[in-house]
Amino acid sequence: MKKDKTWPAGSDARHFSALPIGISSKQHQQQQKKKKQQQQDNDVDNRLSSCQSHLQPRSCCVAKLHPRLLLTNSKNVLNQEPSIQRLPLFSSSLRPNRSEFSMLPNDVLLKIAATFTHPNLQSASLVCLAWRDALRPLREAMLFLRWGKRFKHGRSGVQANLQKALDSFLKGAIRGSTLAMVDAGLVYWEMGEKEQGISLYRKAAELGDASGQCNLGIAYLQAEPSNPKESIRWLYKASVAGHVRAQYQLALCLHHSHGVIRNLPEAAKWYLRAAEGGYSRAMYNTSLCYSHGEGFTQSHRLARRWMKRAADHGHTKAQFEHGLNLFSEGEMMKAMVYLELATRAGESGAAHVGEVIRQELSPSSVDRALLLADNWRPLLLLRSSSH
Amino acid sequence: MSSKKMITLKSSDGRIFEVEEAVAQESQTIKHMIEDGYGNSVIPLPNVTGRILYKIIEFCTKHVAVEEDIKQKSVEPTVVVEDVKQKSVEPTVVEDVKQKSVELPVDDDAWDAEPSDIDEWDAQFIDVDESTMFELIVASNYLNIKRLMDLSAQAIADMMKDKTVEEIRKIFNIQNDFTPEEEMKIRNENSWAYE
Repeated sequence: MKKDKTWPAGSDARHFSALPIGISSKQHQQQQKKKKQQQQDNDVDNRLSSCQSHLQPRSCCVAKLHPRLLLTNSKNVLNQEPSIQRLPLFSSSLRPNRSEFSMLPNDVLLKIAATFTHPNLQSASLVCLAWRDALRPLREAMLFLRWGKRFKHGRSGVQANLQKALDSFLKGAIRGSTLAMVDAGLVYWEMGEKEQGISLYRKAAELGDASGQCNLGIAYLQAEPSNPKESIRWLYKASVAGHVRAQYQLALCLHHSHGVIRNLPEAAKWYLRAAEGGYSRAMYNTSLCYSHGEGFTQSHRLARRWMKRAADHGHTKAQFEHGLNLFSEGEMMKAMVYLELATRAGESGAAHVGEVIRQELSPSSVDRALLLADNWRPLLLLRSSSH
Repeated sequence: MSSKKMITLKSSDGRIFEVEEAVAQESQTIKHMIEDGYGNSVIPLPNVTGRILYKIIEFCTKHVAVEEDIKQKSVEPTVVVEDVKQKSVEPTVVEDVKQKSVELPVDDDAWDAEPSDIDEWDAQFIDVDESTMFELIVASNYLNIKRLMDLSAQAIADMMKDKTVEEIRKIFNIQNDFTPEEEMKIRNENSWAYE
């Protein structure tokens, strides 16, 4: 492999590199020497052929020319002469990375990371210098996202201001973060600007954001005129990706023929998925499916289990139902706790049954039951993303 | 429709591929070249190897076939155009579920057997080593094939999500070229990420 020195001694002969800002030429030379030594140590012959691609400049400056002009075929046996187009005008780093993946074009990397939460973005930014540079817009987007949330909810000493929230979210959105797009869409929707909301949800959805897909699906259902076909399409995508709310919504549509032919086994399946994801309403419906043999083979055992879970997660009707179950099983005290919870949440039917049970219990048991109800807190167990 | 127009593509390593025009046009880049009048000669793709081009053609062929399949279904049984105006699509399930008698015949095939099948196919297609993955995403970016771009971007994103920095480097075989100072800088700037 030829190594023509096209630059004064000390530089890595394999590509042009200008002195980066903030580093003296002496340091530069030293670094180059060190790197050269390192590379000589590391060279393995099966890497030589793929080295062709590693002679290329860093992706960050590569993209500034044009991604198309800079791709090289690392498996190219014909060994093309590197053309002028491929050389960088400058390099933001002196340390060429050996991996192809460090040289993903900027726009590609931004697309990949579009749906990332901040922790994931942080990790990705620390992988290598090229990625750090490429992902800067998204890190900026995170800042705007944070401000947007503050304005929306009036946190951290900031007064709630929906318009400012929207402005912040939009700034995050144009920097490519789907999280910001979805939040902006939500604000638009709240303001009544449904078209704008849908358009932002759509952008996020197409970049693979499950919340965006879910919201888009629901928006299509609620739009006037509604678009059931698109709704199902997006709800399905989000459901497959594990979005709990979408799974529940999809199950509802399948159950009630919104945009699809009624399909009880599928509906039950998606209720169950959402239930397993921690959504109490889905747990309730799952219980009913088992109880009536709708979509599932009838199973009172599983019906009871899911009803209890729904109750424990705070579903009021489920608390009533479960209270009744316990009552019929003779568990008076426990029954009373659940019925009391349901009563407090507004289930009038539960109040009546609760009264009946009270008669049967000793005053101390009643007190204990009421105390348990006072101290009760719902379980919160959302395992996957959901709004 | 007698014979379909064929487009000839040439990979960087000189392999020739003949594909149907519809398949070739899945690539916006090639589509524009055809529109500009280059459809009758060999279209060179100097940035795509034969191995990857083969895979890409496989992908596009499959998706074009699936699209045509969907179009041929004249009646779309899956769409029930109901005006769903209710704001909260949350029924009291107790009543509905009890109405067993009013059940429509459940046609398992009618509800979009396709998306699941094609999604399966896509998942298997993209289940490749990271070197191939890299070439696929870069080529699909160059050729501007939206579906493949989306698929590969998603796959790569999934590989990165919820992993530590070291794990990501290992998966993608990337060397750490941060100096300790540079690394500290980024960590500090974004330490609030974990709040």
